[in-house]
Amino acid sequence: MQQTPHALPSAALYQRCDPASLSFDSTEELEPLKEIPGQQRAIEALRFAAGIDIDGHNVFVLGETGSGRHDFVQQFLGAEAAAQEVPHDWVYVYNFDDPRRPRALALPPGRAVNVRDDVRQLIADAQSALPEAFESDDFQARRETIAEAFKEAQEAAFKEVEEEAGKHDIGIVHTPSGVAFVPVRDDEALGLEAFQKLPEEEQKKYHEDIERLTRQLQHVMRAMPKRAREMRQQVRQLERDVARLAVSDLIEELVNRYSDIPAVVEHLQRMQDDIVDQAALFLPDKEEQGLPAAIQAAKESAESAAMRRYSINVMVDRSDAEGAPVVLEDKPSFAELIGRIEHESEFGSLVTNFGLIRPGTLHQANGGYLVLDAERLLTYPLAYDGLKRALRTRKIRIRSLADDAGWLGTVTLEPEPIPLEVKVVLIGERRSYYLLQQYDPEFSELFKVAADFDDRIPRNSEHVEQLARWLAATVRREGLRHLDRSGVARLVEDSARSSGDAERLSAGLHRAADLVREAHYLAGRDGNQRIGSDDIQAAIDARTRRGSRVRDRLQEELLRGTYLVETEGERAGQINGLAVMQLGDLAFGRPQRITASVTLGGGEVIDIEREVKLGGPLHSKGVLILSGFLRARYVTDQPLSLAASLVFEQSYGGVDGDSASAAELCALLSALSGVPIRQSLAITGSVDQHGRVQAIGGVNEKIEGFFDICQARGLDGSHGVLIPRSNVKHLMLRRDVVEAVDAGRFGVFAVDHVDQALGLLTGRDAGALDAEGQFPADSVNGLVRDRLRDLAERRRSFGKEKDRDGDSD
Amino acid sequence: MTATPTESRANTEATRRVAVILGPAGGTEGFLELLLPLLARQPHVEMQGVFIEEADAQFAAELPFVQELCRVTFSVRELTCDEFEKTLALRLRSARRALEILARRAGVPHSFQNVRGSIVRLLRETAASADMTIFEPVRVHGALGSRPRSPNVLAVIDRVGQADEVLSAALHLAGGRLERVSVVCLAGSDTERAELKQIAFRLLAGRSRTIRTGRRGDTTLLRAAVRETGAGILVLPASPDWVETDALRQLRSNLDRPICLVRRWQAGD
Repeated sequence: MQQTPHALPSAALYQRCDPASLSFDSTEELEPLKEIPGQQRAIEALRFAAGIDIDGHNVFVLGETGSGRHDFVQQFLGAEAAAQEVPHDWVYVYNFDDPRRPRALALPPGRAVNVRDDVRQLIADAQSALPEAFESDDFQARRETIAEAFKEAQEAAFKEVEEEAGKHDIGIVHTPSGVAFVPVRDDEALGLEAFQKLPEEEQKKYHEDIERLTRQLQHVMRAMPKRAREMRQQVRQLERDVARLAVSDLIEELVNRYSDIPAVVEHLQRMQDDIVDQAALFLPDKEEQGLPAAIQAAKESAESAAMRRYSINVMVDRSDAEGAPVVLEDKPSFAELIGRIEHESEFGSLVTNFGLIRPGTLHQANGGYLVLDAERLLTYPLAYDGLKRALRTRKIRIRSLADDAGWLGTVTLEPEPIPLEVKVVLIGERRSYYLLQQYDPEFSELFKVAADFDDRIPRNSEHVEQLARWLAATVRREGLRHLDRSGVARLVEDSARSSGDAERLSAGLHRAADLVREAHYLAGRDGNQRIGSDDIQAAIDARTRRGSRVRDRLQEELLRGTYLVETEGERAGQINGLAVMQLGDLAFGRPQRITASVTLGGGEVIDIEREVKLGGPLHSKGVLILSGFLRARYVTDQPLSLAASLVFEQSYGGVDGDSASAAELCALLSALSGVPIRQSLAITGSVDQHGRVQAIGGVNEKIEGFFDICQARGLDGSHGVLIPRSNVKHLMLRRDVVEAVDAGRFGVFAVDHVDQALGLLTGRDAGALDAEGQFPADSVNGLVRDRLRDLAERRRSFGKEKDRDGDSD
Repeated sequence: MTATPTESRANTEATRRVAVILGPAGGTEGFLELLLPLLARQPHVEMQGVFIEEADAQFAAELPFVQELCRVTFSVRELTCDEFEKTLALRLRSARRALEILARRAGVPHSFQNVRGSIVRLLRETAASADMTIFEPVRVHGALGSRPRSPNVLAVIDRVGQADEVLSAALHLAGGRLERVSVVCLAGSDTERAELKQIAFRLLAGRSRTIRTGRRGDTTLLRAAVRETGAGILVLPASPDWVETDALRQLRSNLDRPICLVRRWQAGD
């Protein structure tokens, strides 16, 4: 026979943190804790990942939201990075061999901006020096000399033919399209009439001479293009020489200045050769002089072609850096991570150049650490793919998202990829981690280290002290009032309550930090120098009040009788179960009336919630266990011949979990036995097929939920809640509940078995099997078995009658 | 005869006639562009376009065995009278249109005529009757011979009495920018050379690009000066040394630049 349990003593309902047990008076005395209390496993993982220099050892920090992972990871990496070398600056420059593929240059840290400014100045100087050189009289004269020499050579050849013609009395005339030879006599050209008067022999000679001279002149003129080409080459060479002379000093000065950076020296030398070839870029554009004023103004405001071609595009500048970078990207889109190539609108067309390449976060974090929120990363299209590709290839290859997805067919740039040396730290929820591990084969290759932050940590003196030191660090960092020992103790208790376990502390440090901030305000308002337990309690109460609108409305409707929950009297087949509702930060318990009805049937226990698809799978599982319990315990030799239905009355939302299965079983047994249940009690817990009551979650909120309605209606000592014994260690009940228990006005009962629960709920012995395997006849179990046997007998009789009726038919 | 003040004012304000000699070679628009600064700054100017149809070319077209050598493609083709006349008519229309456009832009009245005959005679007659005569350059070699148009002007003075006129016209052609004007003084004696230089200094306020000196009629010096100064147009006095001799024809043949002959162009205007 199961012993009917007694109400738990108040000491079992709340594990107090005695301020006297703390070794300090206030957090002011404590050395701030730089780590997170009780997260040694995760911290070791991070330290390991930061230290190891092997591909794929990027980190996924997993844990619940609010555990302080972001702050800690940044703080931790900041300390690690500070001791490391400052990585390179990176710039993009024009590629003189292939303009579509801008070159990436690595420069010593902090030098990129200097190089950029110096080159800008060089180009500005060249924009003055080159036009001056090309406009000088000397240059003009030399160019004219070349052109004149060409012309003279042409004219000499022409003149030779002209003189030859003159010897034969033939002159040259200009026709509309060219030249022609004509017979001449006495400096006058001969017309047709005069010509025909000449002797035939003379005419024939003219004919032959003119034909010969025409061919001769044609030969002379055909040689002209070649001469012209040679002349242009000479002019070009002259221009190159002048341009080289104009810029060589400017370039040489920079080459000397950056002689320690071979890449810059090489680029400057290439730049010099290119300027010599492209000197026209530095000269005023004569064609623009006739453009409309608006267009001219737009062109003048735009960067000059020379500046665009030769300027340095600084991608990463580490002028002010100390140590390796730690970059947190809170908008990890593809473009923000990888960088992008912008375009400009130029007279209706979109154009780009290497100066419009913009760096991404990977560029900034290169050589250090990049911290990303995993869930955000996964929400941006192709961002995760882009990151993986960069990590896999160890290169940052900038491409537009549209280009990457194959949506864009226009010509764009393909900047030279930049080598990538970065440690990526993804911070995300456990679910994300396990989903990625399961569905993305590359994930495990690239993120080999998991830093798993616990949700809860053991409540012991070491962790309590660490929590206090962490609080000390927080108040110092944020300039808040320090906490006295009572304030710390109250926060320890609240942390245990938040964890849902008296023997654990919550790793959700955001709540503790928020409470300290709010208590700091309240303490200041009340004129307290330090934050004490009253300030913390006031902050907790205020927070609860702010979030309790829905809870209060539910309570109100229970008291007004809209929602029917009885807290006095007895009723067969009806019991008070307990549910937990979570709305935002606030979780609260809600009493739930559960009813059971039994009739003759085929052995089904119908879960109404499941039938109408309001019940989740765990709830259905709990109900199905009840059938097993009934068969195994009461009618092993007969078929189960009932039709039972279970209902969560006035429940219009979904129900899940099996924490009401003990209540459902008791209601069902009450309905079968006809023994009424005391409505002043409520029960929570799940049961197995043998009737053992098992632990559930939210025990504190459930007890308090029932307490609140009973207290509102008036506590008389009969009220109480039955909980699984395995939940006793989780109890951290509100002070008013504990006080009511102390005063004997409310009870919390720990049960191991459904028989103990039945004893408390019905006030009758549940009944244990005797040596012959029988329950006492007047016990609850005995009545249940009798009822089930009776139902089985009636079913058998009903079956025979039906068979007979069938035969007679 | 000495002019009275009234007559002098009347001369100053009299309309001056600018003759523009055009030929059948085409490409007239580019050449006429150079004249815009000159015409746009002058209120009392009328322009006369003279399209010259060289008689020698007409004779050549009549002869059945004469062939034309194209200046663009260097190919030889038949030269027939019909084809010749047709092309000539096209070029005439183009030249007329180009002149009309220039006159409209410059805001000056204009007339147009085409004349046929001996080119030497026609040029002399025109130069003698106009205050200023501007010759389109002779283009023999088509695209190969063309060069960028330069705003620089080379002025040639060889008579003290005409120096003012020539330098004034040169300054107008340079758009009033002294630094674009270079001067060549061709003198018959050292004294004259010094006088001419002094005039050039005075009129150009010492801001001329260069002032060169040489002996009168030295076309070789002129060609060198054109080359060195990058001049886009050559301004000469309409003196007998140029008009009555073969020097002008030689210069036109050897300089593919417009030549401006100035007979009268008051400096004060």
